[in-house]
Amino acid sequence: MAERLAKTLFKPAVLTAVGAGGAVGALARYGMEVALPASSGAFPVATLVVNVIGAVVLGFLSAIPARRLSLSSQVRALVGVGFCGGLTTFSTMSLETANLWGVAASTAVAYIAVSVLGAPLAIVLGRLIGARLFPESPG
Amino acid sequence: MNAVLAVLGFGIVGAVLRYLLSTVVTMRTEWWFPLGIFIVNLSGAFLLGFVAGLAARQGWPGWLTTGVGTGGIGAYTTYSTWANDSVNLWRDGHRVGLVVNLVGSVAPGVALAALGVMAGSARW
Repeated sequence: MAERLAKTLFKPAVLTAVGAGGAVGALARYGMEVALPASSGAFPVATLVVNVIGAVVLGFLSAIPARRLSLSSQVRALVGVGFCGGLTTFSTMSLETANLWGVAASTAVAYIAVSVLGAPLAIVLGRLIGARLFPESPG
Repeated sequence: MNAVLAVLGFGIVGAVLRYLLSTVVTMRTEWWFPLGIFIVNLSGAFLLGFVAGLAARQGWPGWLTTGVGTGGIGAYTTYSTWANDSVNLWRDGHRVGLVVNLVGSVAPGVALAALGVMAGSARW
């Protein structure tokens, strides 16, 4: 069982895709943080922006039928698990909310509410765009 | 430049760790609830708080805090996969599971981040 699990997990092509995509995504998020810094008590715009963008992209990707993507699992590993996973962050969102709580509680509530409500909405938006661009052919 | 390289390097590690841990949990539990990402995100929330507290107390150089925090732990946790899983829960009729995945991740996540800061800042 352990050997089978290891064989499924440790595929070099998949790990490389996840790592590369994740690194680029993280760098893009860092760039956004530098471009839109949030001082103490300010609404963390940068994190919300990258999170929503990443969710839209992942929603889009999830709506594309598998057969339409050549090297499907590789693309999903690179862009979905890797890039979107690296671009978006749950931990930063959590820490920012915790830090805001003591300084500007209403901002904290607004931030986390928009983030939570925006998550499924962003996915749905991405899926709608994906379905529109890649309609399933009949039969 | 140090910060950029650190973000890239730790970003690779964070993303791969997320993939491995969440996949192992999913394969072993075979549950409809996305427990793998749940564990990754909550552990990451605590870790980020811990790193923030520790970095402040020990006076880490900025590039290292950015590398480990923004790069590593930022790539480790994910909002997009969490969101995608949540919509799937709705689609598959797991309404309670959806609420647990959304609210049940965020509330503990914020609390764990705060606890992490306290733990990282403390002198043991």
